[in-house]
Amino acid sequence: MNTNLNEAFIVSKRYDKRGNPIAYVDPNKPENKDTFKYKDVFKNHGAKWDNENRYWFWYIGKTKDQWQNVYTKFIEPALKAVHSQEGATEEQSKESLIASLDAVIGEVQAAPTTGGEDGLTPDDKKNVVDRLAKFKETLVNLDNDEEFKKTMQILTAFKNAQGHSYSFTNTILIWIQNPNAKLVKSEINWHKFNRTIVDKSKKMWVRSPSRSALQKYSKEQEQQIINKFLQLANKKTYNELTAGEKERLGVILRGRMVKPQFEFTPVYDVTNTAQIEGKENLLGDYEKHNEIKWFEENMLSDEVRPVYNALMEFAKENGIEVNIVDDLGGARGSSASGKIELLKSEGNDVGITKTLAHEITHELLHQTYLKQKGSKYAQYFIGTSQGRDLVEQQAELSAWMVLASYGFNLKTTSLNYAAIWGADKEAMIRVFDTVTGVVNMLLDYINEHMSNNPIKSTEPTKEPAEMSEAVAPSIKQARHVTPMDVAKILGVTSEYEQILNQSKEKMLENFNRLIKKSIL
Amino acid sequence: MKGSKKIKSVKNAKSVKNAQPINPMDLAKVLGVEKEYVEALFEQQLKKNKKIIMCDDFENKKNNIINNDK
Repeated sequence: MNTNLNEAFIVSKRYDKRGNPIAYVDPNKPENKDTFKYKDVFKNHGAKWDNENRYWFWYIGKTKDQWQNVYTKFIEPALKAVHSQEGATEEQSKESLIASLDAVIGEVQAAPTTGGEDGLTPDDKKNVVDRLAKFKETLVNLDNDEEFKKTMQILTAFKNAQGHSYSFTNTILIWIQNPNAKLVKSEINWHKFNRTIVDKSKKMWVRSPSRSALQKYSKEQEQQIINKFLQLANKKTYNELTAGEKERLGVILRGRMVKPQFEFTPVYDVTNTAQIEGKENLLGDYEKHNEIKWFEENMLSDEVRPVYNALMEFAKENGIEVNIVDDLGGARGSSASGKIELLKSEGNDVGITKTLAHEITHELLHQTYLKQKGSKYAQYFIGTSQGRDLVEQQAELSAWMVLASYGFNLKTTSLNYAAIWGADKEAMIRVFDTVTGVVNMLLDYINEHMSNNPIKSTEPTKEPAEMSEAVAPSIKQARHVTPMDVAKILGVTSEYEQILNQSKEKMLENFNRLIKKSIL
Repeated sequence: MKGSKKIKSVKNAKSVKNAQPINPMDLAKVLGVEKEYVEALFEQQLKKNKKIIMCDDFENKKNNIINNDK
């Protein structure tokens, strides 16, 4: 599972058209994006560029000894060199940023002024160039690395707050034009969210690949990309995708960028848009996305009841007996292979719901009951040989993720995973895969249960319309939990900021890539 | 309402929404081990790459390449 982070490219092996065995970086694999950015690294490590098929490759010879030799001396060092480009010094990064600002200023100055409603005017150009130049001047005059770090943190936070995945260059462009922007999209993409632009004069300009820089995918490739996207999004059809997912897929389907040629296009902030009357609100409660709900353990909320009910049903369906007890000697739950004891509640206790999720996770991952009875959930069993600490952490983490996924962010002090997995990277991958699998299975179950069992109001409502709404609530998808939400809840914001600083190193890489792009 | 416990209106129950699936990187971020996790994945992928290079299988047959290649 590669992400935008710089992991290893996947290498494949085939014969070229002359029948020579080659190892190559297949550009059709989603993990192998943007390999051309590393052209110097690849060239320096003996790779050749196949212009027809648009991939990097190495001749690997005909014998296993030769394969081993080429892999050890050229391929692996090349992949490591790409990976290591994440590291750079503060000063380098500042220089890189300034250089990339110069490049963008040059691009804006060279951009044609077509005018009209969506075209760049001379005034627009002057405005953007002046702001970029001012930002550059600020950077140049920063006294020390700490100030630069703070600036980068502001930009990082701004970038992370955007719903759309903008490049860092575009993040800067948006920020200098409107530092209060909350969620920025093009007019076309706002239409996908059933929103119109209120005031077109309040546009901002971002850089996007020009049409001539994009090579269209074939119908077959498009279908492959769509299939892969659907698979990753866990959806069966295009229509099941959310508006945001359709937007991201649309960006991918625009084509493969074959040359660094850009144009400037107008975008608008959410505050300058309005919901189209009579159409579904696809934006949801965007404003609420930045509000973190704080639930102390022992807090009561009827909002948690559907989750509690679904988990109880899950236990019942799978023959796991849940005994409700008045006292557990200070504990709130326990599991003993097919039997869970849970402290009594009214089904609206957030902490006890988390405990129920914790104990069910134990049943799925660590207890033998489901495995012995041949349950379909036996696949999640991993046993307890990893030790009690790890077992407890897995259950707690899973339960916490389940509750957090529904917006119940519980304060807890029991999570200290870096110390546990820092030394054993393979164990960390296994555990993360395990927890992810079990959490997503439970989320699917709870989601389905909530859809089939809408909450019924216990309070009389005055308006008939309100009554029908309360009896059959519209269930919509919730947003992902952000890392900063989680860091706040865990009380580790400073540690998380350190991670953001680490991410900054990745941004530096992006700056380097941008500069290389502008040179190409 | 007594004590520190707060009970919300039952009508708020409708605001509980479907949850989205998570992935291992979400977990890594949550736990602050994103960098370590990426390193682990990187090392794992290097091992997989080596296996691919050293195995006898090729993606295409040598005899069919002229017909299949562009």
